Amino acid sequence: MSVSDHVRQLAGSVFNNLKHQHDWTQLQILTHSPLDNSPLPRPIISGLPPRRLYLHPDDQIEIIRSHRSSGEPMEEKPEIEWVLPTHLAEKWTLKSFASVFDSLPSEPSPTPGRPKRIILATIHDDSTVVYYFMHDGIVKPRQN
Amino acid sequence: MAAVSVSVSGTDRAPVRISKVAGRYLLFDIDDIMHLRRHHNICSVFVGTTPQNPQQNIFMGLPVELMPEEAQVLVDKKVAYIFDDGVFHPARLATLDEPTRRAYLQSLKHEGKMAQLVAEESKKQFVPKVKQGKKKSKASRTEAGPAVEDPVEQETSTVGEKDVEDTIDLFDSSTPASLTSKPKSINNVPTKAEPEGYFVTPTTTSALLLTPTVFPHLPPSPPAEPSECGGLSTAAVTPASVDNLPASYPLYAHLQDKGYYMMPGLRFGCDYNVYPGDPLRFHSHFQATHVGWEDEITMLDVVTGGRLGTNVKKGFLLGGAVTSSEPQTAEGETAGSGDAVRTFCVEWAAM
Amino acid sequence: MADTINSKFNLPQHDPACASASASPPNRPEVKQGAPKAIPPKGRSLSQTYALPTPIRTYPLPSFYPSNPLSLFHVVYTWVSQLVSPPPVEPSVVHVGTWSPETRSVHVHDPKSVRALWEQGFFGKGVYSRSEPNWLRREQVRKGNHDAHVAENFTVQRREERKQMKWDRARREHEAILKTRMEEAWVAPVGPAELLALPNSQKDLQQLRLSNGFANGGVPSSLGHSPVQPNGSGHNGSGPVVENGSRPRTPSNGVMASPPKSSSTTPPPSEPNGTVLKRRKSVRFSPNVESTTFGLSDPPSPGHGLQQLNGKASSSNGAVPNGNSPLVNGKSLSSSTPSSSASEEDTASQTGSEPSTTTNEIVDIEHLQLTLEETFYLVFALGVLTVVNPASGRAMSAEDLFTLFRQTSYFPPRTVDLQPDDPFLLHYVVYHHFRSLGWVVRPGIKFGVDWLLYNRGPVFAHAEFALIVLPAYTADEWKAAGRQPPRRSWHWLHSINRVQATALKTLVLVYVDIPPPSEGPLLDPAAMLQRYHVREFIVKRWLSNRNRG
Repeated sequence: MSVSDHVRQLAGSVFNNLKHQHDWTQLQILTHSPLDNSPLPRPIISGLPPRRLYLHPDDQIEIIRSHRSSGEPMEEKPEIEWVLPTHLAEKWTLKSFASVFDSLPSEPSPTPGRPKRIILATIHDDSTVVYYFMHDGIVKPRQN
Repeated sequence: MAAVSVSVSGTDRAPVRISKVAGRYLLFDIDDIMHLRRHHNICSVFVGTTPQNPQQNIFMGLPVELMPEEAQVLVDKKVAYIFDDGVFHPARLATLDEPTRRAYLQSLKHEGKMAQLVAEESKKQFVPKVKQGKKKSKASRTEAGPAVEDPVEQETSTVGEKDVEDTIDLFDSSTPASLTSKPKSINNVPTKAEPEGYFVTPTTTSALLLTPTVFPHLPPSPPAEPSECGGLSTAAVTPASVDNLPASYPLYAHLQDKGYYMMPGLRFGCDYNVYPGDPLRFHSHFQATHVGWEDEITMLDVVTGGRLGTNVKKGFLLGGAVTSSEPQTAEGETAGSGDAVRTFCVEWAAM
Repeated sequence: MADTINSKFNLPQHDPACASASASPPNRPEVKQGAPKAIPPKGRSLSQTYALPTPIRTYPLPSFYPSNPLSLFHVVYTWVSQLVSPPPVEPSVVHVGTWSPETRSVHVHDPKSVRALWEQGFFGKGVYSRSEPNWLRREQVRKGNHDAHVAENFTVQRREERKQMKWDRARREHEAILKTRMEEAWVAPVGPAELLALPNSQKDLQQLRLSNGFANGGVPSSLGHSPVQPNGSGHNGSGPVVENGSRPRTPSNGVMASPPKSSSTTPPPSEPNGTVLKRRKSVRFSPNVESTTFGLSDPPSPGHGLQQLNGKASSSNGAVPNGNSPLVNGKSLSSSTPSSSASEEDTASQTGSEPSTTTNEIVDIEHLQLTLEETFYLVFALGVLTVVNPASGRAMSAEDLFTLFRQTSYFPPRTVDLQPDDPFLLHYVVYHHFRSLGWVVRPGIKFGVDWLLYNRGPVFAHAEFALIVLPAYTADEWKAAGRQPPRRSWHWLHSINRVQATALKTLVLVYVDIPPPSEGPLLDPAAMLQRYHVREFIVKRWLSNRNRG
């Protein structure tokens, strides 16, 4: 089996995890750029989470400004996210991360005007997947 | 605050003098420190113990020790220059002519006097509180005549006098020894009149740079140009690069260029603790760790960093200089030094 | 726990040094007599459910107390009764797993085996669950067929509460910042213009405060509630807050069409009167917003801000171009929106349809997934598992698995050049070591470590110890070759230790002394494992101020 086979199987595992454990919808494994159809360095999963996963702190402030008084919970609409499947035993470099980001189209991005972001999915052999946001550049953190 | 007055002349200020002592980059002038903090987002760590309270290490005082990265950035921005005090000091002392020398000693004496005045002032306020009820009469006696009772004070004052008489070499290594072994027999010197001033060990050689006429006006301010000190400077002023610069310098310069404040981050498990503004006002935003462009990153370390950052409401920032001829993206950021630096922020996705 | 293994049945003493004692587990046909039910019945306590620390039953002799002579009879009775009718030979149950090269793991599909392996020693992980395999129960709870408690649902609920709390906190923080800004922006009115602009009466002052509250918030009076219309009154632009006057404002003529934007970066469009033309423009940029026109009397709607934001976010067709997300209530406007690059999501929506939602009967698609180390321990050390090769359909021997797992542990797998420090060996040695000492060992990826040690198991308490496995090349051959372990920095150690400290775990550095590569024939697993040694070091941060006295 070649490396690309392993990487594709990795994407399949993460795909199933997103679908069944985290109830994502509109899932799709992208191996080629949706813009110019050039091959991506790694498969990327795009999908819609059941609830909004990321809200930039500036956007949060905007929302709070827009209705200051209401005490009820904010309705949050999910956004399409990109997921990069990786394996725990892998070794990455800044260069390889950069190549993944560079291959992603900036246009249909979840957050236009902001640096690109992906969800880094790292899978372990026991099927645990940990998900971390990764931003291409300096993005101020949320107040988790 | 003195910073207010400094801020006016923020841009056209003379370069700051960084003293290089034993491979460490130190700032001794509080005005310099405030200037750098205000205008160049540099606020490094105070490393000096406070003489009033030397047994604690929570609140530290002057000097400030700059990280090599900070020193390099300041030199690159031409707002500071590095002076090797170890080289400059003996060389300069050897070339002093007589009036300059006397004026220099005079300035040290003046400084000592000021220090003593301040110390006595605070002692007057302090003594009654402590000795209250124990020896009221003694307190009143102290007030009546400033006859010195503290042996330390006596000793220093007499030494100061002796120094003036003999004009011994201030920087002779035997001086501290002679200080401590001073016999008590000279104690009968009358010290009633003027306080003679403490013996002050100069912390920096900056005073030596000044022209004699400036000496009495303390504290000294640094020279306008490093070249002012003539031929000596070429030996002492370290050229444009700092020798013990860590590999993470490109990341530091990049963040510094973006206006972030960096503090050493070892305690927090990173290279730099990155603040969006003055650390006194802001919580830090990132824990920045430098990675070489093609250094292997273990995924477990990314998880650890992301988790640690989320625990303390910070982002985990990975970054390093692009070393090869990589094509730059539209967002490809450029550091002050011209090297492209790529950074990535990691946050927990809460899934 | 490890003590109970101490039986007369010559069970393996699980130490790497003497692991050869039980090297070849019997490959018997699968018998499942004593396996518990697939779903633990209600009312069983945790300690009953998880009574067995391993999938092996032991029959220890009762203790003999010299002070109590009667206990001798108990011992003798037990011994005789076991002699007369010996208990079934252990392992009485051998579970079957399937090797899955795609996931580099072994899958156990039989529900009874899944429960048994989970309940007796906490082996494996439900592939769609956090740890305990309960995907089916979760789905049942979601359908309302089951009222059990599922850990994952608790997590979801807790996070929902936390989210609300975060919103409240964010709002409070935001207000605090505004207040501070207002205080700091205050400059004493000294110039004649400022003095003239001062409010003339207490009433003016109050009105001014009210309007500032909104203006500082950066909302261009979109809600139309501000008692002072900014254009109407004379003291606009020179209130106490400096920022106030410089902000561009959209004239409020009853129509507010532009979404709130941060004033510093993108000033709101300064169309003098919000005409129909302008409204259409804003519609084009926000397909998901139900209506962008608000009357002065319209109350602020809860989802208003986010929808607008999303509209802004999806202006270049990012968020949900199809508009068929269940949460999007874009009715008339979204349908007319041209979705320029929707092809990707179109196909995605087709592939992403849930198969289980169509039928009422939920098919359990979950299986237990065992890591390489867990599998090998169950096969090699306990002998309670048989691994079937899906290609040939036959069971694989421990030796085969040993080689296979060593190859697989590299990413990507390699078939040649196996080293004595390959990831599988390194981690298996540690796994075996601590399992043998009675700990429940589970992967620690979530905490950034290699293994977590539980005293009894994850259902009882949190893990106490977090292990980092480090190779140590102490053998002379390695030293001669100049082999160095991977370089680790101080801040690496600090970061790991801080993570463990916040999770109330103790960091243990586990050094595995790697034996030199062996020439000659390939050793069998037991002989190979004998050559490894494990050393543990606890690392704790020492703070002089907190560790006094």
